[in-house]
Amino acid sequence: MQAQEVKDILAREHPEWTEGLSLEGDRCYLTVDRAGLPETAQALKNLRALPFHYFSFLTAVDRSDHFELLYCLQNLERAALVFLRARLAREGEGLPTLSGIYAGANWHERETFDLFGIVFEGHPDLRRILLPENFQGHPLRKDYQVLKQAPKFRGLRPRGWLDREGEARD
Amino acid sequence: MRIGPFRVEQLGPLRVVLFPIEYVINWSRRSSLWPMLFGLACCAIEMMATWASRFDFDRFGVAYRVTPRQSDVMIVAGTLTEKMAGPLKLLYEQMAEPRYVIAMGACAVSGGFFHDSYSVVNGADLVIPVDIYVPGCPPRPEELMHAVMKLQEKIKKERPLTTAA
Repeated sequence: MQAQEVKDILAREHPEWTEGLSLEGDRCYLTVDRAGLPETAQALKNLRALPFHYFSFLTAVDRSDHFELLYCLQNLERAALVFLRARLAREGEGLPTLSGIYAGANWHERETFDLFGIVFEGHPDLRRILLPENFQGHPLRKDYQVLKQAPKFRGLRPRGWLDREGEARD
Repeated sequence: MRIGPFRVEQLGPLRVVLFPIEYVINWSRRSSLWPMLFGLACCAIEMMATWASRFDFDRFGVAYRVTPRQSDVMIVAGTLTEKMAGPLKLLYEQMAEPRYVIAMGACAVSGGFFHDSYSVVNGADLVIPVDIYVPGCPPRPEELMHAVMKLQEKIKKERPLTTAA
């Protein structure tokens, strides 16, 4: 299904989304306010004409003064996809979790928290998933200094391995 | 009469063949090296290709196992991240001796392409002792075979009974 068709269906079913909808680079984007994310996601999931039942992925982009979150939702039977876009301040703000609506969002939100430090309110188990538990910092932020902030460990025992207390040892 | 390390003698009516027992022990160990697959990343694909029909690793006697309890050599194929370093050490310790390690690919040798990364261990030898290093990104199947052949040469020179005593 083409992006234009997706946009037309969404605009027809939910006229209040019209100014949030856009076509960029052959994809349909729906920009929402971060507080309205769960409601919009639920509406997309329940849409009779084109239910977006598959949570494909969630990614964040660090635009230097704010974060931009992109949720990709898909309808696999008709090969339709829509990107939900939300904006988030770099410090002090979180956004509601979608793990209650889409089970697949659980680990994606953990990954986004792990690499960006973005907090998802209401998440049942928000902790690091790809990096070791006692890793300091969030590497994919633009202000993370890769060569200076993460000391490479030298020695036979990796950082955090079998340290039940959670202290790092080199 | 000598045939390589073997000696053929005539003891009365018997013709006996004498051989150093260490030679036979080494021969049996190097001819049936069962690797534990530790494919972490792209090198695992080349490792699979080495076992596939074009290169056929099986004819070297290497029948891969997926558990360290049944294997002789561990082939670390791929990037070792910090999170994986703990399990790597655990599985190495679960292998029975004599055990060997082959570090396959640039990442397992030294961190490779991801040397400066925040989450990569610069080489498997920071966690476990490595016997054979195979450079490459990824190394060709022939290079992995050469690594096993080098390991076989290394085992051939061992003195298992001498050092144990």
